[in-house]
Amino acid sequence: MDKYLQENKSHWNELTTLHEKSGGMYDVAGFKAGKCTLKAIELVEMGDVKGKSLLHLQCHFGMDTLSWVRRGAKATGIDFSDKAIDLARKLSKETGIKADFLCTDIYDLPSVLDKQYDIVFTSWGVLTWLPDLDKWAQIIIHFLKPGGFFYIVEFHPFTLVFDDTPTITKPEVSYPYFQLDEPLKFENQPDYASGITVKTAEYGWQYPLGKVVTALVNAGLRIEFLHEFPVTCYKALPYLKKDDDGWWHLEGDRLPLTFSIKASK
Amino acid sequence: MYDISGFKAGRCTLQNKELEEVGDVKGKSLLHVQCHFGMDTLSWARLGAKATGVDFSDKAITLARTLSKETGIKADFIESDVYALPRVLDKKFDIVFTSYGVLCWLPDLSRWAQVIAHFLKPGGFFYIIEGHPFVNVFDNSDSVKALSVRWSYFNNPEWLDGEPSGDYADHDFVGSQGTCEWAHPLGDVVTALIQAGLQMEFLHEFATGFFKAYPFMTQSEEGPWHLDGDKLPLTFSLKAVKPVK
Repeated sequence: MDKYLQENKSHWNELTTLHEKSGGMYDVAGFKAGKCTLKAIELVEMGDVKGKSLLHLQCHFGMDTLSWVRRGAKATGIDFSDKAIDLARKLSKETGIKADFLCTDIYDLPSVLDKQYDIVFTSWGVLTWLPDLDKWAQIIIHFLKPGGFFYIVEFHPFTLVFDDTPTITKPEVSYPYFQLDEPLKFENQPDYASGITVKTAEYGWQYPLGKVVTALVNAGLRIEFLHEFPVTCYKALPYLKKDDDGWWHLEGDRLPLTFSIKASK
Repeated sequence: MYDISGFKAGRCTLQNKELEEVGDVKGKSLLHVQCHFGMDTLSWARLGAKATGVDFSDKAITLARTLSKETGIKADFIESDVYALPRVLDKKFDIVFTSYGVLCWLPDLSRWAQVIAHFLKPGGFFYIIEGHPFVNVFDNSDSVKALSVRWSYFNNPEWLDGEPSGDYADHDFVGSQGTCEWAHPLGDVVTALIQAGLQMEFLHEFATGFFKAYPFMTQSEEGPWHLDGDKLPLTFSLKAVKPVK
């Protein structure tokens, strides 16, 4: 197995153990009690999923997958972390919400899953784990029925250029916007949800917005919209402030922190 | 930036990016929206396009016609606001082209996209190359020494009442008129074109700019402007086609 993939998989196995008990961002108890973990942006933009088949890529431990099922979708969640998929299956069992969960790297999915879906869904912090965006887009279209659609809501790549050191008080350009030849390595970082220092390293790729759009178009999808939002779902930069609805803002809402794309086959 | 004598002597004013991305225009009809005084329009005509240039400035169109006459390069020039164009021009084109410093003058992106779609033949395409909207969020005052977020990516009511400022091509010249400008996020540009019925072909982003957006930028020998480390997208281009139904 590829070195980056292997290390990222260990990283996500470690994160799953932390997130199961972290509360806050991953409110497992609230979810079990019936709380929907999906956010307003994807709920509004995805629309009614009742009776639709839905493939959730990079589903972590499946609370969003199961939330789509609660809203009537027939969902399949996939993730490359075996711990995450184990926990997803456990949650499915405990809550009695039916969904299929598969542990597989996204690029191996066509060799283990033979089905097409009305919707392919992925969200919040997924692109950075992908070594190849063109192959990713080809996999998406492979699993879509003709007439089906792909939807992604994700951290805006523009946010990633700013220094996120905890002591920084305003936006300061630190990282390049454009794709690098090799992924960036991060070590001994605090977990974004629990704040606990993570022992395993992570390797992240970054993709400019244009690359995401063009990869989907090149795979054969038709872009329906590209939306940008001045809010995000976690404290991506130390000076962001949380509103009453749980969204994080930059003062004056001056920068795009999130984007979403819908594209159809 | 506007080398008229070079142009008259035969120099192409189009940049490499649009030349490569638009491709061969020989024999194609081309509508150039917001053409200023037409050197790019006439450069497309030199490359074989049957070009029409449109601009809302009567002085610009008068100069464009003078240049067309003096150089003997044929092109049609129309003085019209983009939004009024469907009332004064009754023709369809293989290509609609627009470039560098156009979006900030448009109050309404949806109507702009509808005008573009209206003038395209089925199977024809729209191409834009423009300053990246990320550039607009950073302070561009003469005194700034580094990138510092000043403006909104989404909306700046202050820009509607712009003070007269240094001309981008001649910094020492301060215009007598203020300006109204609008910020248009990348997503709004893409989505407006799609809603008007066009299909996206690509969205490209470049680390070079076509003018000195900030005082600390440096110019490469080939002409484009760079930021230290080429960290940010300074230009984008987009191609979209009108489907054949």
